[in-house]
Formats: sequence, structure tokens, C-alpha cells
Amino acid sequence: MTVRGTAVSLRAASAALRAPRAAQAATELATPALVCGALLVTLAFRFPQLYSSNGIASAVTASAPLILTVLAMTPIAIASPGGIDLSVGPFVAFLNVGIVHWLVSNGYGNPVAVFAFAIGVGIGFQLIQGLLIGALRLQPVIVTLAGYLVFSGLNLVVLPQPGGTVPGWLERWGAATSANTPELYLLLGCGVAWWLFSRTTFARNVRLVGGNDKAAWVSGLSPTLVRVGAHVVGGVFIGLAGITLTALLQSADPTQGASQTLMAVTALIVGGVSLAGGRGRALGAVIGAVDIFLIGYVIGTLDLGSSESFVSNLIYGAVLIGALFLGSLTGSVAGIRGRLTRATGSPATSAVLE
Amino acid sequence: MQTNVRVVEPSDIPTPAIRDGAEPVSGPAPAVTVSGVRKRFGDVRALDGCSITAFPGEIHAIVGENGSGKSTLVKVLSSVLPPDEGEVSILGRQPSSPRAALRGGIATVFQEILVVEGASVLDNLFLGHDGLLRSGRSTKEKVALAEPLLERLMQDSIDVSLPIDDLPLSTRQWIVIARALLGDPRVLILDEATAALDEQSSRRLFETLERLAGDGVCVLLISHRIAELTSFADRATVLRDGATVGTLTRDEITGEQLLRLMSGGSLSAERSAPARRELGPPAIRLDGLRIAPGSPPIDAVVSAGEILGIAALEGHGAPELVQTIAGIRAPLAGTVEIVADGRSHVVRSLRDAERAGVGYVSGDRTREGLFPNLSVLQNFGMALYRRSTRAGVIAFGPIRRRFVEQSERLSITARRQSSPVTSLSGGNQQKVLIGRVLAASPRIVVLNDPTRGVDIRTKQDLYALLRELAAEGKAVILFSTEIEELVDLCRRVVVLRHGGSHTTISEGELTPARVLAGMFGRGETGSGAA
Repeated sequence: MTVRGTAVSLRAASAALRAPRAAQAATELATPALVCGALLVTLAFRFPQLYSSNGIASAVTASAPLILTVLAMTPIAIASPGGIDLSVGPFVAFLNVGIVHWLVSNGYGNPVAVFAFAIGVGIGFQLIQGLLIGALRLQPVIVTLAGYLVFSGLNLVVLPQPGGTVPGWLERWGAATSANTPELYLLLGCGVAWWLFSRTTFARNVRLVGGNDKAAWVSGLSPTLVRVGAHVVGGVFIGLAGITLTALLQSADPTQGASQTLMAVTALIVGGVSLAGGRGRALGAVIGAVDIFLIGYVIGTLDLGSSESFVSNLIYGAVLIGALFLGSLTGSVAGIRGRLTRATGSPATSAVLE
Repeated sequence: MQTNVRVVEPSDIPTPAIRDGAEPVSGPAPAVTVSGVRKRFGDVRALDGCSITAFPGEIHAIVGENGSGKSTLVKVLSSVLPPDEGEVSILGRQPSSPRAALRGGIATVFQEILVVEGASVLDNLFLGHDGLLRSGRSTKEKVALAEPLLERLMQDSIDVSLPIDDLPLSTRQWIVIARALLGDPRVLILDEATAALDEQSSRRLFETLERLAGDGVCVLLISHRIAELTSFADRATVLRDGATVGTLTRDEITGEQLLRLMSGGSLSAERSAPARRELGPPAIRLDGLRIAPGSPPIDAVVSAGEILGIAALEGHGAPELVQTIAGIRAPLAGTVEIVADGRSHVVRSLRDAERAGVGYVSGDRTREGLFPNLSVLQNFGMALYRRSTRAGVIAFGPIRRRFVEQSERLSITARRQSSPVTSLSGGNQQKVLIGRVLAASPRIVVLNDPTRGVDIRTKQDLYALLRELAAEGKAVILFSTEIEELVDLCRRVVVLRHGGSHTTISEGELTPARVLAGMFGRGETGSGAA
């Protein structure tokens, strides 16, 4: 009797485990997904070329650096309150400069060397940031702002002028005319890798530490190790972002970084990743990046001429506030529902007490 | 249904001598030995020569007023804080980190309810139980362990996959208790673990603790509820000003003994009989008040000079009712009417409540009272700022004078007005908050479980103050989770069930047993009950 009872309750339990999680995911992803849908519909009218094989190929190439950058920022943002990585823009540009100026010009343009360099340097740099934030308890904003400034300067020291060439394989990535490109597979591979990562115990620990590091610490979970680990995971994706930026630019540009940081932060927040730590999903962040990228396309179709860059900044700002507002609306609806259930009391308790 | 799987080693089985409360002569080795521990924070000596010996199989209470160093001791025992001086040996070792302590079989339920918002109940339950990269158990195994345990503790089933965010404080308290139990500890430390639980739940917890002690677990217990200590503790070590002043055996643990040791003999524990007074005209009128959807209406009249008690089990609407009277929540239906100086005010918002002269004091100081980043004086003056500004600049002179007045009346012990409010003990923080309300000269005082986590001496001061307020002709509404408090202070107690008034118990019939019976739905039905 006990055995059967247990089995039944286990099955019920695991079914119950899925339903609310799916509902939670749906509310968290609603805002970026709605924005994305609206943009795709708009572009179907204003820029139908996007839906050609060539259009998709160039969209993949152009959006990959932003998507991977935002993917890199996600674990870092989840792992600590205020865990926003401002260094990403100039650092990705540094990888771009390093690949072109140090590797390719010295004959090390083969994929193995490029991937090893980008991912290795990405992990190395994030390890430093992670130790400063996780072990020395410095504020993430300050540490990563320092990283931003250091690489903004360093890039120009290494390479004062844009220039250089990329190896043939990266040239083909950038010039793809069909959606069937290695870059698309790289993005899909990253998605699968993240999905696998998000199911690990370590990923759960990242969320728990980000949600309440004090509770985690007194319960025996080391916030330092978890945060350093989250930065290392981010380092892998930031390395890949450096490679895809090189494929997009087809050369090295030391000045690319500054605006990229702001775009990535906007995408992250539009994607529903909370800067309070502990909350957010990579899927949301990626959709947020796609949103930001598609907004650029829509603005491009408006033929604004020289005022385009001002208008686009204005629109990014409006979208950012709008997304936060929408997010808070869905949040408060859930909150009110919770309060109502609480106020009426749990029927089960009353039944037992009668 | 045995869920908490435990291997009892022969040496863990307690000798009957310990359960009887006597010092064992040649029994098992102590589970916890603390000797001469000192810990300072700046120039505050939190622990100053603290020693405790606790054995496997006993429920050992650690007793002391707020500020006597109990919580610091708990942090030292759980290796959250290293001691400055002295020896700590738990199960023969001195763990160097909370993780090492947990792995060594020491589990702690801290006073602060430490949960991760946004994470599921299950993840909160098994927080820290997993390794950094690998989980010890599958989700299925975790659910199979967690659900029966929570059900046994809470007498209620709960979906462990839900996020913890919307759960009430009492459920969160059970979750942190269950987290400690899931580690199968050999030393279990509970710091005010019943603070957020109602009496019935507390009793269930103590029955669990007694079972664990029977299995050879050493339970260290901190509680301000004397009744819990006298009925459940095998021995009690009393701290005063960070030092151990004595250890009582089971027979010696009485309210008087504890109070005498804690206060150094200066405090008399006698109950002053409520003074017979004529009540004034009606001051508060609740008319068909509904506080939750579907709950029965509440009707009541409180006279000037009366202390009306509110009693209810957790989740039956008592905090909601007092918050509605204080204008923090809007009533769903019906009215809250305050009559003052012949004028009637209807309270629907905080602004109405302020105009009507309603002062609100909450026992949940972190959420409903303190600004932890501000000083004692700034916290005190919060309700006065609007009135004491000159050309838009706060004039602190009058506020300071008011503070001196109130701190004499309430005997607040703060070294400096400018020190951060968090440097005060819980009892003194509560006094600052009460002083804040009184400084605005309210006509009505509404209290939401004001003695939660407050030491006994402060409680006594507070009781005297409430009687004084009533004698001045103020109407007082007191919700408390401690029934004895209500019975001592009030002429009438309204018992709520399901958000409506279930019964009103008046003087003559007012006993703890009657109130408790009403809370469990057994008293005679009052006006508003369904």
C-alpha cells in the first residue's frame, strides 16, 4: 500500500513540478516575445527581404555578436545582485583586435587557434573579474566599469586604426548567402549548451546564490566559488562573441565596443533578466537581443538619413522603459493573485484543525 | 511513516538520567562544549565569557534578554562567526565554516528566516545540501523526502515546486526548519524558530524536537516564550550581558527562576491586576468590516480607555484586521470609524488614519518599522518630520526633545542618538518604534504583535505602557500571538477565524484556554461567524 501510494504521489509530484514552472516561464518571457512578434510582423511589411534566404543569412551574421554577448552576461547577472557586466563591449572588440592583429597577421588564422585564443582569453578575463567580485566582494558595476575603461584604451594602444584582414573561413561566415551557415549552427549549439548547463546543479546554485547569498552561505554553499564559476561560463560565450564580431566586421575595429555595451545591457533587461540577481532566463535574454537587433532594422527602413543614430538611441531608451513597465505589470498581477490566496487562508489547514 | 531516516548509534542513545534533567555522572560525551568564549563587535562585547555544555539527547535552552548574546552564540556555534577567544567543540571538532559545520552534523535555524526569493520551495529546502557541481539526490528523491516531512510538520500539503515568493512567513519558517531537519543533524540549533508560528504549530515543532532528542540529537533552543521553555526544555543555560550566569535543570526551570537569573534579580515577575476603570465613550466602531474576499463581516465597538485583544491562528486574518484599522489596507466592505472629540472619521487610507489620530506599531520591525540605514533619532522622528520643518528644512531640536521625553518614559537604552538603529537590541528597537508613534500623540494605538522577538523585561515595560495609555483614555487594539498577554491586558478578546469574528470573550470568562478553544473553532459562535 505504501509503495503504491508513494509511486502515485511521486508521479503527481513530478507532473506538478512541470506545470507551474511552465506558467512562470510564460509570464517571464511574455514581454520580450510580444515585442519580438510585433517587430517581425512590422518587418514583413516594411522589409520583406528579411524573409529571404539571403536576408536571414545576413541577419544571423549581424545579430550573432549581440546574442552571444547577452548570453555571456546572463549567468553573471543571475549570480549576483547588480551583477551587470559593463566590460563586454570593449572586451569583445579586444578579442576582435587580438584575433586580427595578433593571430591572423602572424599566420595563426586557423579555426583551432582562433577558438582557443578567444575562449581562453574570455575565460581568463572573466576569471579575474569573477575573483574581484566573488572573492574580494567588490561591486560588480565598479569592477566591470574598470574593465570597460581598460579595454577601451587598450584596444587603441594595440591597434590605433581599424584595419587588417580575416582568414578565409571567417570571410565565408561573413559573406554567407544562405541560412545554412556555420554561424547559425554555432548559435544553435550555444542554445543547446545553455539548455544543458541550465539543468545542472551548478546552474541551480548560481540562481540560489544570486537570490540570497547569505542564505546560501550559512547553508554551506560558497558564493565565491559559484560567482567565479558563473563568470567562467560567461567567458566561454564572450569568446564566441569575439569570433562572430570578427566575421561580421571582416577586419579589426578598436572603437566598436562602447556602444555595444549599452546595446547588450538594454537587450538583457528587455529580455527580463533581473539586475537584482537570482532571476532571469537565457531564452529571454536572447529574445531581448533579437528585439534590439530587429529594432535596428525597423529604424533602418525609416530612411532617416543622418539623424538615424539619434533616433535609434531614443527608441532604444523608450523600449527599455516600456519593457520594464510591461514586466512590472505581469509581476504585479501574479503578486496580487498570491496575496489574495494568502488572505483567505489555506483551506487545507482549516480542514485539519476542525 | 518514517521519513527522517536516521542511524542511531549505541553511544547516541541517551541515558535516562539526562532525560530526567540531572547532570550525568559518567554518561556520553557532551555534544557541545563552549568554554570562555568572547566575541566583540567594535567596542560592544557581545559574548564575554560564555560557557555551555550540552549532551546528546537533551533539549537544552539558551535563555537571556535581548542583547545578552544569544544570537551571537548561535552564530559562533554554527561557525558563521569565529570566536575571538575561548574554546568551541561540537561533536569533538571546531568547524571552520558553515559548510564544515553542516557536514559535521550541525544544523542551525537562524532567527532571520533565510530563504531565496524566486527559487522553488524544493530548492530552498535543499539549499546547500547539494555539492557545487553535483547533486547528491535526484529531484524525485528530494520530493519524496521533502513532501512527507513538510506535511508532517505543517499538517498541510504544499506544492514544493512553487516559488517561495507568495508563501506566508509561517510557511517560510517551516521551510527553514525542514531544511535543517533534512540534513539529519546530530546537533540542532534553533534561534527563535517559533517566532513566526502560532501556538498549535509551535507545539507540533516541540513534539518533533522531543522525538529527535529521543533519537539522541542534541537540541539547542532559543525562545522568548517562557511556556515553551518550562514545558519542553530539559535544561536551560541563562546568559546575561554575554556571560553564562547559570544552568538550570528541568525541575528548576520556572518562569520566576528564569526571570531572576536573566535580570540579575532586579525584576519582579508579579502580575499587576488590571485596574478597574470606567470606560469612556466609543472610540472605534467596526461596522460590517470584511478583510478578505468571502470572509464573514466583523462588527465591534472599542471604547476610549479600553484595550481590545485580537486573537487568531496564523492565516486567519488578524494582521490584516489591525492593518485595516490602521489604514494600511483598504477594507473590502464595511467601515472603520474613529470617533474623536465628538467628530467621526472614516478610515480608508493611511492619510485618513493619520488625521483620525491612529498610531500603528508592528512587531515585524524589518518590514514595517525600521529604516536600518538611519540612526536611532532619524528613525524615531519619522512621523514628526512633516510637522517640524522650518522653510522645508527639518528642525531636529524639537524632535530631539521629544526623543529625550519618550526615551525616559520608555527607558530606551541607546548609547547615542546618532548611532545606527540596528546597533540596538530588538527590544530597544521596538521601543524606538513605539516612541515614534507616541510622539505623534495618537488617540488610538493599534499594535500588530508588538512583542515578537522582544525580551521579557521589555515586554513587562510594554505591558505597563499599554495600561498607562488606556488609563489616559486612549483606545488600544492589540493583536498578539501570545495568549497570556491578551488575557492579562484586555477586558475583551475578539477571536477571528477565516477572516471574520468567531467569538468575543469578555472579562470573567477570559482565560487562555477559552481563547485557544475559540481560535480552534470550538468556542461558542459569535455575532459574525458563518
